Amino acid sequence: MAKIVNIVNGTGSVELINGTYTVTAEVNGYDNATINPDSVVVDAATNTYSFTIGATGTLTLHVTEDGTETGTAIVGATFIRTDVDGNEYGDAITTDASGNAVFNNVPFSATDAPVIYFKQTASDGDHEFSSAVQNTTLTTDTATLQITNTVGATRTINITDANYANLPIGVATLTFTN
Amino acid sequence: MKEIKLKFSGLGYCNINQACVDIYDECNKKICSGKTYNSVLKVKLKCNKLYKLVATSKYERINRNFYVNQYNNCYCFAFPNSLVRNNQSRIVTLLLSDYYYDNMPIAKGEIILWQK
Repeated sequence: MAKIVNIVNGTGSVELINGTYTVTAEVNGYDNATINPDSVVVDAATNTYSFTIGATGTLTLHVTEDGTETGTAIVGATFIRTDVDGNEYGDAITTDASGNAVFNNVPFSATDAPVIYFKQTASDGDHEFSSAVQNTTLTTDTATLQITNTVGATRTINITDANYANLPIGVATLTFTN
Repeated sequence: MKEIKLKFSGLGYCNINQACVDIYDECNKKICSGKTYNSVLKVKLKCNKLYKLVATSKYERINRNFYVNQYNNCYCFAFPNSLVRNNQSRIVTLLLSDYYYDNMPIAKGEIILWQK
């Protein structure tokens, strides 16, 4: 007799007796054949059992100044996958000379595809970026998302003498470190 | 001859073909056999006779003598080790995460466990 365990946010519970079980999975967007382990021995000493499953989709983030396919590429922007709350998972990816950063092994499905969350953690130092959690879904195994990193705006910096109101400093260099 | 019901406890959740049952007479001659369904096997036996029952489940085998009288139509037997085994049923937690992204929980899905 099969026991079906509903998984929500990575966790599910079921009443079981000790024994050896074959494990299969039904996870939309993932390759169900990759459930690991595919067999488990339930014994009296253990009440929690961990499994992993993998996906085969590819999400490319193309980062440019204007968010278009032909825009000026941003090199060195970094992204990381997250959950909806911004908790980070896996390794960060970095845009290459073409402005592309690639998330491999992401879930995809023609219907009811899982939501993929990610956020940008840095740009190249000369461009603005949003660090907010973004999301997308893949309905095919590959997809490209356009990301905009606008040129940093020109700002006017004034420096005056602290002891003489409004007296401008003739020549100086200021260094701003982000 | 009358039809009697042999009822077994300890066979768990299965509902078909749980145990094979052989009935022997006093001369140790097999007189009938069958498989339980929903923990029950119906057989026709003579009254006021002593019989030997050998029942084999997936996990254990029991051997019992029983006397069929004219009053009782149901006789009960237990698979003791299976009773203990079934009593070990408890809640276990399964965790499912993404193989390629350490500790990333799978938002929604099902794990199906098939007991071997």
